[in-house]
Amino acid sequence: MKRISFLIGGILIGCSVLTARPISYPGAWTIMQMNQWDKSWIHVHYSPNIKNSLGLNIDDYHNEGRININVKWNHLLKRRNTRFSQANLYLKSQIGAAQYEDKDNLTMSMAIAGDWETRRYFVAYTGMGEYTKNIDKGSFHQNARVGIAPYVAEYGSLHSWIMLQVEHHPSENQRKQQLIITPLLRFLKGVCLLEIGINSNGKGMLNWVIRF
Amino acid sequence: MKKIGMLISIICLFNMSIILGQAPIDKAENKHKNKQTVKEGDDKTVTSYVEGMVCDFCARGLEKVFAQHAAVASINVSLEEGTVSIKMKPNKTVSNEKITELIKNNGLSVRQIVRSKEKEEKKEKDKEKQSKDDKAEN
Repeated sequence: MKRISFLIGGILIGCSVLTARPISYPGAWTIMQMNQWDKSWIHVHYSPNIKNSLGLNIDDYHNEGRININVKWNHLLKRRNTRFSQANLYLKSQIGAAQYEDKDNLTMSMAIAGDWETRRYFVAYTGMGEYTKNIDKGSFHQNARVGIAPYVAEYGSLHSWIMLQVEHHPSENQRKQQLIITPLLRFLKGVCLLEIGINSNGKGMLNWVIRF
Repeated sequence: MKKIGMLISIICLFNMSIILGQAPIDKAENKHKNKQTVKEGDDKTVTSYVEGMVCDFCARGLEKVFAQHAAVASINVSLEEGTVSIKMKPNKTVSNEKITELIKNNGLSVRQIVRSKEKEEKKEKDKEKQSKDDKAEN
């Protein structure tokens, strides 16, 4: 029981932004759970086709005592496939209600995300604008990732990645929260993805994604 | 101290993943070689050369879609070669157009589709041509 509590605790304590593909293959469901230094969130989405995914996103801002419940739509703007690589450009948008001090406030965000990946290298960037009525008059956040696979695994094997993530939150009051660097490890096997790391503020990170 | 412990745990976990991850590669390669052996002379296998297939997540959708198709017996994915080999059930097949459509619907691109029968025919033609050339030289 202690071990289960520790595992659940670890999942909830972690801290980062996950850069997993926001759209899966047609007819697939995806569940992802992750934690940032300011919030924990869970996202469930369904991909009716390769261009779109629609889902529900719940953000728990544990420091502020605020919970956002959003409907999220991810759209693939452009994909470029080559023999050895894949590059994507996504538009992510969400709208919903922010429950804060017993009041529901309108909240919305929009993001542009791009990635390029080979079997050995990975690069990704996300830039996001947020607005929450009475709470956040408009803020901008961005994060980037680079990764390298120490070995190239075949289909069905365990894939491992060494990654470095940089988050930039210019509107944060504290300087140490404006720029956060997270070295992390990513493991991918079958339909499961797991990420662990430690960020520059000394907080652990544990993210997971399951597709089915 | 806690941070160091955490760091060591992560490094150990990562080393383990490399060991665990590399072992199945050999298995996967052997499996692929076996499939290639089975494919010789088999006119019911279609090999699609796919672009953009760089990870398991990319190929997972293809496996699911083709497995649901009534004409497909099994499929074999090779990320190394960028191929999806589709083994058809007896007396059944899937057209190149349909295969292309299914792969494109999964967000990947098709470079080439080769049927094993065509492969064999091409080999025989090449052999015939070679023997004719040899005779002409003699």
